[in-house]
Amino acid sequence: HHRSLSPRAPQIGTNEWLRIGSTFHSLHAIASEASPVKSFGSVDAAGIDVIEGEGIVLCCFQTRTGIKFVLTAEPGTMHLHQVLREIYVAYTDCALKDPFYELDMPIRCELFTQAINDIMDRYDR
Amino acid sequence: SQATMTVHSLNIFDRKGKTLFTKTYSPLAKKQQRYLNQTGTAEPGSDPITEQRKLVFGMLFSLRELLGSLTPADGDKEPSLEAVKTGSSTVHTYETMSGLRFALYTTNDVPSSNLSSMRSDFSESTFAQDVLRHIYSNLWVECVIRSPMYTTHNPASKDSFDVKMTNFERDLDSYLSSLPWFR
Repeated sequence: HHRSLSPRAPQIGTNEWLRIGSTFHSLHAIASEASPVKSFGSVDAAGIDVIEGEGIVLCCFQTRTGIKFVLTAEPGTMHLHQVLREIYVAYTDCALKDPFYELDMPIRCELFTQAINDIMDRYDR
Repeated sequence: SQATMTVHSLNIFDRKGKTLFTKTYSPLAKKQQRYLNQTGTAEPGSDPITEQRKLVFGMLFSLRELLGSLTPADGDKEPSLEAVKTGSSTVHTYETMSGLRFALYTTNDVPSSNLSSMRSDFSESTFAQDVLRHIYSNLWVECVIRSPMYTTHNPASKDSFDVKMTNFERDLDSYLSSLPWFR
């Protein structure tokens, strides 16, 4: 699932999103290998949480099943981890509990889209 | 809390990914490097630590490209990578105009910059981006680039210039020890 949430977001086609997604998936795992220090906690702790760049911040939440929720935002934007958790809850409510939704398929649920709209409205205030 | 902040390691790469300088600082990182050396796998002719450094360079290189695709194009800045945080550590990175790349691994409580989501509440923070800039502009440039051995060495020759012939490491250690978050 991919979605622009601001007019400033770059226009990225579906194929490029797929490429970005698979690149990020690999780099997410490599980041733990590359670290000179490994924490021996749960699998949830492994992989990229945050990437900070000039002019952008990327935040990632990974579920126990390996699904990654990724948000990009203006640096200094607050509550990104909270937003990601709410999106995860929306995913479980709207997609996973939808009897017509097949796992690992693109998510095209109107309820999910609406839930994201609601989350964004609340946080933009 | 300030008690946990520490530097794990510093790597300096040239634009092609060759390691120009590497040092491990924290006892935890040193211990895990020893463990990796004994138990890790590597290509013939290499070792697990060198392979790990290649991962660092490759990851930073690819992430910068990735970030470039995701950054709004209307900004006036060249998209650049500053920090990558995982559950176990943060790597702060700085790239110079000439392609020299610094990678500083720290604990997760060291803030990258004043816009960093990782900043803690105490006001006397030293930002990792400023630290890396200082290491480059004041230490690397002074000790290495201005060294007579550097200016006279032939970049095309197989014998590369050795940073160990300069005072860089000594000055670097001294600088890092002076930071509030170095242990």
